[in-house]
Amino acid sequence: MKTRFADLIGQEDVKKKLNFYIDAQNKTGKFPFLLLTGAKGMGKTEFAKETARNVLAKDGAPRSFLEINCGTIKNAQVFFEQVFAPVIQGNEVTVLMDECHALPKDLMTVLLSAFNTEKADVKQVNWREGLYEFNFKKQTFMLATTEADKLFAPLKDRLTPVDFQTYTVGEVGKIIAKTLPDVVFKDDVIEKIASTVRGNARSSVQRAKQIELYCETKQKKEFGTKDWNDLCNKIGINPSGLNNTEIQILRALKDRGDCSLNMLSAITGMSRSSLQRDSEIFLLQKGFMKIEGQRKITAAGTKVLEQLSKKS
Amino acid sequence: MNNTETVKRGRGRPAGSTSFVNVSLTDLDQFVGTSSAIPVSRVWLQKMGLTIQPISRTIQEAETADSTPKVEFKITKL
Repeated sequence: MKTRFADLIGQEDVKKKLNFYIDAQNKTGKFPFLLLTGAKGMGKTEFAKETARNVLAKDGAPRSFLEINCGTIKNAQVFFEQVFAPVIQGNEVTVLMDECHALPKDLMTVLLSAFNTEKADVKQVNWREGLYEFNFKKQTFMLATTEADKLFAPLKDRLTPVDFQTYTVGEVGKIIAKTLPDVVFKDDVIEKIASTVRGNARSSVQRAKQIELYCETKQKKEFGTKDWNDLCNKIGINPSGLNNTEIQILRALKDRGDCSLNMLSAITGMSRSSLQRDSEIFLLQKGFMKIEGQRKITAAGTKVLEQLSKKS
Repeated sequence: MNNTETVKRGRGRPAGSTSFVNVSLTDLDQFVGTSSAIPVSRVWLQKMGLTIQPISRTIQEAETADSTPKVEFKITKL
C-alpha cells in the first residue's frame, strides 16, 4: 500500500497533522475545519488534494475534491446558487476554499454559524428564500490563504491552523530531481540550482521545467555545472535567485549607504508595499539586508554583489 | 363617517423613525455589484448637482441578468 503524501516532498509537520486528522475522519467521521496558511507556492493545494484522496466516502472510495477560488465569490447568494446547491449539498465531498481571506462578508457570517458544530453535525442555513443543509459527516471543509491576518477573526477562531514552512535547499533539490526523473545531475550541481530557488515548491518545479527545456534543446540526459552556468547566462538566473529589483536595492544600499523604505521606493520605482512584500522579505531571509531603523546591506549582501560583478 | 377612517387615524410613520439607513458603498457593492441600479432620492441627486436620465426597468433587468458573477470552481474525481 502506498504511504500517504509519499509523492510530496518536505512539510513533515504538515504531513503528521494531516495524517492524524485523516485517521480520525476515517474512524470517527470527524474532521476539523482546517485553515492551511503559508506563502504562495508552498503546496497548500497539493496537500489539500492529497488529503482529499485519503478521506473516504461511505463506499470506501475517495471523496470528490472541490476547489473553489473564493476571490470569485461575490456574495453568499451566488455561492449557494452556483456551488453549494448543485455540488456540495447532499454529496460526499472534500471542499477546499482557496484564498479564503477574499470571502465576502455575508458568506463569512454564514460559515461562522455553520461551522459551529458543538451540538450537531448537520446545520441548516436559511438564506434569502432557500434552506441549505451542511452535513459535516459527508462534507469536509478546508480553507487556505496566503493572508491569514485578513480573515474575519471570529471565523479564524473556528478553524484549526496548519501552517506551511519554507522548503530547505535540500528539499528544493529533491523536488527538482523528482520532477526530472530522466535527467542525471552531475557533480554538486543540484545544490547550486536549489540555492537559486525561493524556498517554495512551485518555484522549484518552474526551475526544473527550465532545465528540462535546456536538456531537450541540447538533446542531453546529463546536466552538470557547465550546463548550469550556460543556462544561467542564457536566461539570466542570478546568484541566490535574486531578481533585478533586489539587485537594484542592494546596489543602492551599497553605493548610497543606509536608506529608508521611501528612498528605496523612489530609487526602484516600486511601491512601498510591493518592496516590502516581494523584495525585502526575501533579502532579509537570505541575510543580505537588515533593518535597524534604516535599511542596511550586510556582509553577505556585499559578497553576493561581488559575485554578480565577477559574473558580468 | 365610516369605520376605516377611524381605524386609520393616528397611523403612519411614528415620530423619529426614518425610511432610510446609511450603508457604505463597499457593503452595498458586495450584495448587489457595481452594475446594479440603486434607487436614490431625486431630491438628493438635485442637491448633489447631478442630472441623470433614469434607467428603464427593461435595461436594468437585462444588465443584472448578464452581470451575475460566475464563481470559479473545479471538481475532481480522485
